Amino acid sequence: MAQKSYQSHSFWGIFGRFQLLSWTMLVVVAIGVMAPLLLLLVGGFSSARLPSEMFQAGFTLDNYAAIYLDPFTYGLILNTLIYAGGSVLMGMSLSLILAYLVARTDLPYKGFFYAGILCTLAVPGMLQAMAWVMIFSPRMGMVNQFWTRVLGFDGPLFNIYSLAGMVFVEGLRLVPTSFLMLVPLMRSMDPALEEAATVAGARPKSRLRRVTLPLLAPGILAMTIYQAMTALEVFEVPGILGLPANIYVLSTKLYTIVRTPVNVPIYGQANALAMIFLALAGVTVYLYERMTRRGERFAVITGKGYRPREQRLGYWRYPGMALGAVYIFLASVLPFLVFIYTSFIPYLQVPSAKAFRNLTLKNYVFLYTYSTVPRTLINTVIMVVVVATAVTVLSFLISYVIVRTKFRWRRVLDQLAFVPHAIPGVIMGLAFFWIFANLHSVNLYGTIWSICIGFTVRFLSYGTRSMNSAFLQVHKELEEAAFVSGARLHRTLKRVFLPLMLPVVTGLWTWVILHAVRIAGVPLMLYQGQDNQVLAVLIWNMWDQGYVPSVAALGTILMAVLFLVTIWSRKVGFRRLGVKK
Amino acid sequence: MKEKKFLFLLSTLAVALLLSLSVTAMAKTPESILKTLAKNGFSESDLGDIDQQLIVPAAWTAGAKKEGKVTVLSTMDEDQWNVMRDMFEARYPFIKISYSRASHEDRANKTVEAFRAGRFVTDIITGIGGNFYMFKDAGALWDMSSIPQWQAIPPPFFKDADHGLWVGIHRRYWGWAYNTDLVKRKDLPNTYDEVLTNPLFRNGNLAIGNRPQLWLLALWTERGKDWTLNFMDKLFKVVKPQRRKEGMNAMVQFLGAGEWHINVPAGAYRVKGHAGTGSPVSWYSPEPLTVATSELAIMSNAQSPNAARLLVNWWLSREGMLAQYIGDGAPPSREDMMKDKYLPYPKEIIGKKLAMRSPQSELEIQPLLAERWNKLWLGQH
Repeated sequence: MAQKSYQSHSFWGIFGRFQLLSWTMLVVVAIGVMAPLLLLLVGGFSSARLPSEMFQAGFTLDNYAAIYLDPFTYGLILNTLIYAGGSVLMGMSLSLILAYLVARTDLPYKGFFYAGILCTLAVPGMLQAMAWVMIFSPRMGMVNQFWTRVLGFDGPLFNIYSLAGMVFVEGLRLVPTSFLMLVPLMRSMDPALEEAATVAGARPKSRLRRVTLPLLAPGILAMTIYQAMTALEVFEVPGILGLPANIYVLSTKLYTIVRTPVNVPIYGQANALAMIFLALAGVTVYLYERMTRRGERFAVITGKGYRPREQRLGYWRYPGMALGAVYIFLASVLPFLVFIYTSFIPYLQVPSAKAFRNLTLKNYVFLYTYSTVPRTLINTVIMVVVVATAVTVLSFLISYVIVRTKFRWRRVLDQLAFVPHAIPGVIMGLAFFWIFANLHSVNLYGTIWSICIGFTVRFLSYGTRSMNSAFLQVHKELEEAAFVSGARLHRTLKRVFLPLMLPVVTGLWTWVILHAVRIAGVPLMLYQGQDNQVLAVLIWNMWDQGYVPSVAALGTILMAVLFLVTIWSRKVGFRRLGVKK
Repeated sequence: MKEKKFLFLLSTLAVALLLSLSVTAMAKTPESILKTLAKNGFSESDLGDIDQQLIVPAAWTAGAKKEGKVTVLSTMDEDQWNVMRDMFEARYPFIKISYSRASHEDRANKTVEAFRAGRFVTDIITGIGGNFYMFKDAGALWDMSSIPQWQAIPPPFFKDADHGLWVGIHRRYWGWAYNTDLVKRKDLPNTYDEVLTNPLFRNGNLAIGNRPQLWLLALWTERGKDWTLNFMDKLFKVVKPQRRKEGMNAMVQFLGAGEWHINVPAGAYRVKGHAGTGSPVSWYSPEPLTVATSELAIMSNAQSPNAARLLVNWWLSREGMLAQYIGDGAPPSREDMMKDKYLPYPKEIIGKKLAMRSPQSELEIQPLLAERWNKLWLGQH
């Protein structure tokens, strides 16, 4: 009977169970990812200034000519490459060292360093950049003022409004994600090869260079590409640190094209510029896919319960501890302290006896009385909950199709779902703006739902990566047993997969909330007013409008909440995944 | 003859009766308004014939009661706006104001974009200077000349007398803000030509905001195209100021913290407000002093057109102008309130030659100014 039932499901599954789900997911992802990109492409050839007028206008090459015949564009590309390359170099180098220290050495207080580095995830890039403005702005920065006024130097110690400043801040920001990926990789390495090298008389340094690093190389390379995509994507750091000094990278230039204060913007030019990004995205996605596929051939994680031997650091443990402490201090403690201080001063000023005499709560009171804040908070809560839930559900279903079915187009589905990671938020926002401006049957223009859709598509890449891995860990026999017992697909997903994958589901849901609340690229492009203003946009606008101490108050509260959520998510979500401290 | 006189009298009475039925007179000034006035050194007499000023067609009031709300997109900080809101809502308790402050880009550009896309953003918008031509081209503005208090605002610099599309609500003196810890007033030049040669403005000590329309439009009107373009070129190429993307208020914050010595353009009343927090900032201007008004307009796709008319009529009345002055310190634009006592930094303003931004200059000059400015701003010169 059971056999009969299974067969009937199997027969039905050809048209119903798998195919309906698979095709639905393919269509949803294809529309979500490709439709905006297609309109982005077509809009680049439109002679209309505004997306809403595209269908009344003709087609032209003027936008491409304006962008690509302008030498400024090529300086922009160079800036972008320096910024992204420098940040990745700094971020990856730091995270490699830190991950090695935590995973493979006898560094004291590892748990503290592990938790401290992960806590830096709670500092949004925009706030981190703002904090560094208050520290290293060439003249008003706290350190620079000390440097010039107290120590008597002529110029500033460091100008944060520079490419170097942008690289520094973004480099710091990239560390926790790659650290998080590197630690398990290093912990799970088969120690046999290293032990063989030791037996053969290799010294620790040479063993590291000749054995450990080559073993990790494919993983590191894939991670480097992933981080390069992240650095290219980030808008907040170049927006806060580059724009005031007229240092443009691709994402900020694109933003300023559509946010000009003196003209009706020519959106088509932004689209033409975005094509560089799409080309870069294509290359990076291809390289990443290639690396991750090839990486399987060099797998260092074999599933055995290895416990790699910890390298003794000896006297090197002090510099190791210092490095970890300095990183945590620079990436999260210092920005937090700067924000706390600024949030209590009546106007922007460096710390002094006078400043401490005049400390005030007025910036917190201002937030309480500022009617924009509650509206924005409600919008933000709706947005993060909807986005996190949509991403989790969609990723769960998409990954099921990719990992568990023989759907013919599953690889295409996988790649389509990954594409958004390589597309910067401002471009994704721009692309969706073209859709919403022309979509009259459903009014999404200027609504919070427009941002929800933009973000959902944006985060699908991460969601499907997480879910793909999680589905792979659940043995197929469990699913087959459910089918044999007569369970339908939705019941199998609900009763078998969901309970087993709950830690991943919770972890992903929390991760999306943590990121959606702080990323500004997508919402800045889709924001049309208070009806769809979210927290990241409010912070951006308040900074731009001069409410600096109030931004500090808001940032202090936000960081405190994000610290708590980060700690909670590590405890609840990832502890159950077996991530050891 | 007597019959004719009688008929004339009768018809006059009938018209008067009809008129009295078709307009709405206001009740006594609410207590809360009197308290706010008194707290800020004003009295009921400063309101003049306020009952007369607030008379509007009855249909507007009836319409506004049905609408029950009005949306405003403006430049005032919320705590400043709250003074106006409280006084207006005391007068018109049946209208609730939904207020948003937005940056110039968001206010002036996004609203036009949304209008052209057939979307509603706001009933009333202010601070569209320099972008007025975009609104006019799009047909986005409603003719306000039928609003009774329109008459109280003097043309040509404070209202669009030809088409009634905008009306000035402030007199804004756009000058230069400076950090009093870093610069002495006596060291600041009195002419624009000296700005180009004075070493005080070099080495990044001067910061400029991306709002040429606030001061260069008026200078262009006063000094002509050649002088202005030459001044702009030299300013960017010789003085090499910091080009800042922040809003004008943020620039005053950074100025007070010492990020630069001087910045332009800076609204006098904004600097005065910031100086009131204890920040070491002050304000001055070389001659001619550039003056602009902040344009208010009603969108032609307003969802609450009657409530918008009531609010604008009140805003332009003496009560509305005083509320605005109490809120943000900006000098009123009503002809009968153009008094020195409302001026911020009166010593820097009184007696100086003024360069006004005219509506005509906006339409004709702004596109040309914007073209050259954008190139200089992006360093493409």
